Amino acid sequence: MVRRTGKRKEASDAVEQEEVNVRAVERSPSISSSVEEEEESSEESEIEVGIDSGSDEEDRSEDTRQEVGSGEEDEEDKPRRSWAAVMDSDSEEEGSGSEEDTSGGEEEEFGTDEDENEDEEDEEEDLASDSSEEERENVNTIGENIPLKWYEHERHIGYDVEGKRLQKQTGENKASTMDFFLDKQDGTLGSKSNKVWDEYNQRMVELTKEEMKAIRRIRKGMFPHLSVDPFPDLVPWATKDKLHEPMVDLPEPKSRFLPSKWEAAKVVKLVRAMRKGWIKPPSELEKERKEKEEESNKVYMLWSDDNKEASWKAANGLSYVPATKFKLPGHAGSYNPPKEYLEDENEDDKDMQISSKQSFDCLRKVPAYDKFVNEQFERCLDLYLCPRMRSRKGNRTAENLQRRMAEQKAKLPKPSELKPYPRKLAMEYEHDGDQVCVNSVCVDPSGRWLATAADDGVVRVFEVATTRCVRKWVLPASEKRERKVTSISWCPNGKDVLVAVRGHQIFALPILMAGSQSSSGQVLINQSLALLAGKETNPKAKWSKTQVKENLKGGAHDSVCIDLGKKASQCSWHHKGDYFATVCPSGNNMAVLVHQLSKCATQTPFNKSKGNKIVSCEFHPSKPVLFVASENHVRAFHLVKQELVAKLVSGSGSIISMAVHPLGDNIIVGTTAERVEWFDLDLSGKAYKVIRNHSNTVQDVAFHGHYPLFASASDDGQVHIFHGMVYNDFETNPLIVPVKILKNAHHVTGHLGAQSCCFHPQQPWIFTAGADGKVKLYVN
Amino acid sequence: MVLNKSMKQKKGKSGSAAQYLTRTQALRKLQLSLPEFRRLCILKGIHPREPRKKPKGANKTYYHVKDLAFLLHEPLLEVFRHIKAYQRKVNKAKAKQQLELAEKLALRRPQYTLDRLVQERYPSFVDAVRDIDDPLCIVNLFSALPASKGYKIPVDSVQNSRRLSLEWQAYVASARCLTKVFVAVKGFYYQAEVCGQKVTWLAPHERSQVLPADVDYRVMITFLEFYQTMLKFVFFKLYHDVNLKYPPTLDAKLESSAAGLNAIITDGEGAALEPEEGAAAEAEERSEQSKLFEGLVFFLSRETPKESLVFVIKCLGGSVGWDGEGSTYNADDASITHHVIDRPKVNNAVSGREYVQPQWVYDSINFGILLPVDLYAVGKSLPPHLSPFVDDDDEGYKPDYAKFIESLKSGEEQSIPAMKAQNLTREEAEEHELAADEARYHSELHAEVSGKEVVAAAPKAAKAGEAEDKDDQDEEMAGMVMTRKDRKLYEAIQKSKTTKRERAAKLTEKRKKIKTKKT
Repeated sequence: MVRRTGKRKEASDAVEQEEVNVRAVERSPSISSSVEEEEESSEESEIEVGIDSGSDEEDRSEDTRQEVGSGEEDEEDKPRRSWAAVMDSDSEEEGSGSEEDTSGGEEEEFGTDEDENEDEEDEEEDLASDSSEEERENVNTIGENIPLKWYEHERHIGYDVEGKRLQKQTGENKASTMDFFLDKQDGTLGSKSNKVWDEYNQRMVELTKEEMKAIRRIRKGMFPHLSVDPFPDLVPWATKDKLHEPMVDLPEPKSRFLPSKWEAAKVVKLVRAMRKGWIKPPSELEKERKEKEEESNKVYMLWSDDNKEASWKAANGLSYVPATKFKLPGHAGSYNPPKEYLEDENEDDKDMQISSKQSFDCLRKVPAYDKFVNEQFERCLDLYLCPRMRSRKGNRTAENLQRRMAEQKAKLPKPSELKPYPRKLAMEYEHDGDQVCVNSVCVDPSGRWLATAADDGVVRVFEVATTRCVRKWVLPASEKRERKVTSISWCPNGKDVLVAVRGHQIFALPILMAGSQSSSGQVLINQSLALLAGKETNPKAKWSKTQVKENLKGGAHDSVCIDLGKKASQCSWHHKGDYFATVCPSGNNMAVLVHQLSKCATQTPFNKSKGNKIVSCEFHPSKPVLFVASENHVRAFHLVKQELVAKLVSGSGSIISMAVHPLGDNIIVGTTAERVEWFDLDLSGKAYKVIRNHSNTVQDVAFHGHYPLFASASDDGQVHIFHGMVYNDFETNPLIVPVKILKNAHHVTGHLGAQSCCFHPQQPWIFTAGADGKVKLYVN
Repeated sequence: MVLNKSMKQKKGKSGSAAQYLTRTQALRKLQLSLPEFRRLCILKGIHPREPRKKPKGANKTYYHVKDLAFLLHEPLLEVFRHIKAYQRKVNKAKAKQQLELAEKLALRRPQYTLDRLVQERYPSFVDAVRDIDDPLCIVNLFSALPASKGYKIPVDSVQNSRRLSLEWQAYVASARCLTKVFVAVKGFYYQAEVCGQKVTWLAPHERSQVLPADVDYRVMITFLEFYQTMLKFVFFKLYHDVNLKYPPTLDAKLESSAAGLNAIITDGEGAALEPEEGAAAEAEERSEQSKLFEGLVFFLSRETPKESLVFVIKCLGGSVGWDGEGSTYNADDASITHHVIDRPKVNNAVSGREYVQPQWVYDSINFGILLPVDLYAVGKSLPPHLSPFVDDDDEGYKPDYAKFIESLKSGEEQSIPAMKAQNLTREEAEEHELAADEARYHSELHAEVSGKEVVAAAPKAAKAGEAEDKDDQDEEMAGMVMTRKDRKLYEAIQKSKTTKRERAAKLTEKRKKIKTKKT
């Protein structure tokens, strides 16, 4: 038998099978007599092919045979062996007859075409011949891995042990085609004979009868060997029937009679566990379980103390913060709320307190609330996840605040105790030009006359007591068409000189001059004008003589005009009445100038610019100190020592206005951030008190000359009066109490409200001026 | 002062950095997983706190170190660890198919009780009563929930919840301390006064509840576990104080037929309601209200919310029968005075009894009088059901019906015939009253809007304008010198006042619109 490696066999398996089929078809007429006619035609053609192909065909057939043989063995090996194993148990005496019977029966079952007799014959033969293949030994030496094709055109095939070529046996059949042909014609070779050419071993092989039969069976799609039963009967091994004899007849081992050592150990263990109470019988266990349950369900008096006070401390010493209770529903939560609580379709009302979406006309129609579980769950989450803090809401009640305000009030004196202060509107000083903005008011030191500066370029003088307008100074037109008089200031030493600021120019007017009569102011101005005639003009400030018209009494009067070259905004007198300072916000080091009227001289106190954009400057009431307010700071300079005395920082907004307390140690400023800040020079550079009282820029602030009063005028149209007491001792801080709000003192016109305020020098009265063209006097 | 290098404070050694830990830090310190930590926090009542300065950022939750130390020394922590180890053993046995071992292990599950925690968290009884609202809500919720294996809601906790809610109802009924009831869309709100504390709880409507999937039931079950223990002890004390035995017996048969409160048999009743000497007057006044339904016999139709009505009526001294098993009265009992029915019409009316809708019962309790029955007659459209929790005067808006009831009450006090007359021509009287009220209300509103304080409407208006102005200025001026904190507070109060006023104005306007639409 040819042994080939499984690999090759597998590869060529399918091809071989086909070849076998072809071969079988070719041979069929000679081998079997009972082949269907339909096959016949194909047969003939096959034969022809067979003839044409000649020796090749022979080779192949031979090859195939062997292949079949090997295939047979491989395929049948297992089934046959298993069959044999199965049949082993059967008694040998039963013999082959019974075997035949069973197989015959099977054949019938599979419905084969062959008749039984033939099969039986085959069977016998098959049984007899088994070794036909083994007889023919391989003589080829080329080995399994070398294909025959390689020797196709050679005369030799393989080598012997000594390395000599083994010649092909060509002579026998293949060489003489005539022999081959004759053989074929005889039927001794080819499709009709049982001889095939073994190409591999280079010899003619005669197939045995059994082999032929096997081929025939293969053709029919049956197992080549008869003995193969693909579906054997199941032989039950373990049956319910007891065997008479034991299968194994060995004596019982000793261990089966001896008590187990491990079992004994286990028993000892269990016994010990039972004795020690580790293992209990089920009844006891049940009892114990019940006891435990009862124990856990036991209820007793946990709080023996009766109605102790609620505690606000947790066991760990921290304060106990109880969770806020859930919110109780209002009318809107009702199942049947009042109609006004129902949400309108067109209304986008988000206030859940007064709108409900659902309403049911009777209780039976109310469904389960679908978010009930979710809401309770959220509440649970809140309880353990939300940080808790003691609520400040406790302090947040109106009563609480009122109480605190009352406390504060009790601490502070009541406004009624702080009288006198301006409370009532007494006078209104009419300006003929309608809606002309009054920028500044000023009262003369005697308190009889009131001067106002307006946008129309006119300085008016009123008699305080009668509201009569007594003078009307029309300032001469300037080259730059500036009209607005922004600031006026009355000379504090009793002489009727008034300084007015209009654009670049500063005017010193003999303010009460009427007709040809001479006044103290006129004398003063004439003196200085006389001085001016023989003097060279200062390039920084050009002093000149001008005629200013007075409209009411008629006539024009000599007055001093100083041209600063830059726009000035504010002026203020020194308390002695000879010097006055002016401010030009864009003047850098020339921002603050100090003028001396008696000598017609101008000084620049600073070499360098002091802060950005100077807003205001004031003289100290008694010391040679000048306060200069820039947007963010107020600086106090000692004019003699030439040094910075104090620097005050404004906390908010930019400073608009400033006023100095008559004692000189306290300053108030008004800022754009709606605040009035009180600075105490003795305390610190920061504001002692910030009062956030207005709702718009604080335009002007003012102190009273000797009453403890100060006031602020703002663009919101209000003027606020404060009691501002400064104590002489160093221990007590100033006391600041708001005493009066002059609401609607002035109408707000074009974002401007109250523009200026000024206290009466003797009385606790206040004059206020506003953008609405009104000047009002409030008296106590 | 310049500090030495050695004197310099190190970061995180003092202040809130040392006093507070974030949650992650806390977990690390306690060596717990988040669910374990959560469970422990819930049981111990530990909650995050809000440090002044948040050392690890504003988006973290902070726990006080003392709270955490408190958790660290909790014996329960050890028990939980044991349970965890034990559970691992059981799981292992089950995985190895050693069912016998698993069964045996099941008997050895470490047990724990929460009594100690209740006492620790609530050192005095008043504390416990003060915090009883949430427990009652949760217990009422769970008594209405289905037990579910999927969501791990055990059957016995549901049953226990049901039992506890009935026990609480039984206590409130026997102590007669119910003060307010409100039927909301969400459920029934009840309020009772117990030990001087107002206890409010919410019970769901008697409909089947659906378990939403987006809820972590483990959290709720943990809460429930503690609450059940807490309620048990609180109830014990409460029952003890009114001379009742706790736990009361639960009639299984009645309970299974959903008889509600009647299933609870309180033992040792009798000397229950002796008011204390100190609060005699108050108790008398309260008992006046709690005797509202005394002598009345109610019969509840099938469609009415039985449990709620039985509870409420019993609280006010009435007796109840219902359509179903276990009822003490039959439907045709002659002693029945009120038949509570929620149908469009009565089919075979029995004479000698009033037919009312359920809202009558609730409204009567809230207003403290037996309201006229004809308003709540069967088939009639009901008057609105108002919340008893709202202080109308404080809100600045009073619904019409509240005003009507008020007038009814005052009329009742003055003379009974007057009320009758009013009853007869109720509609007209109401109209008159409303018109007068409206006028007064508008004047008040005007005054309020203009910034004046309204205490008594008419007499104050006569006062000189100057004085008022003065007052006003005082306040404003006080505002000037207020500290920033106070001013903010002041502004907040003013704001809340204005919102209230606006709300009231809006409601009034709406009411007016509705009225004009009607006419």
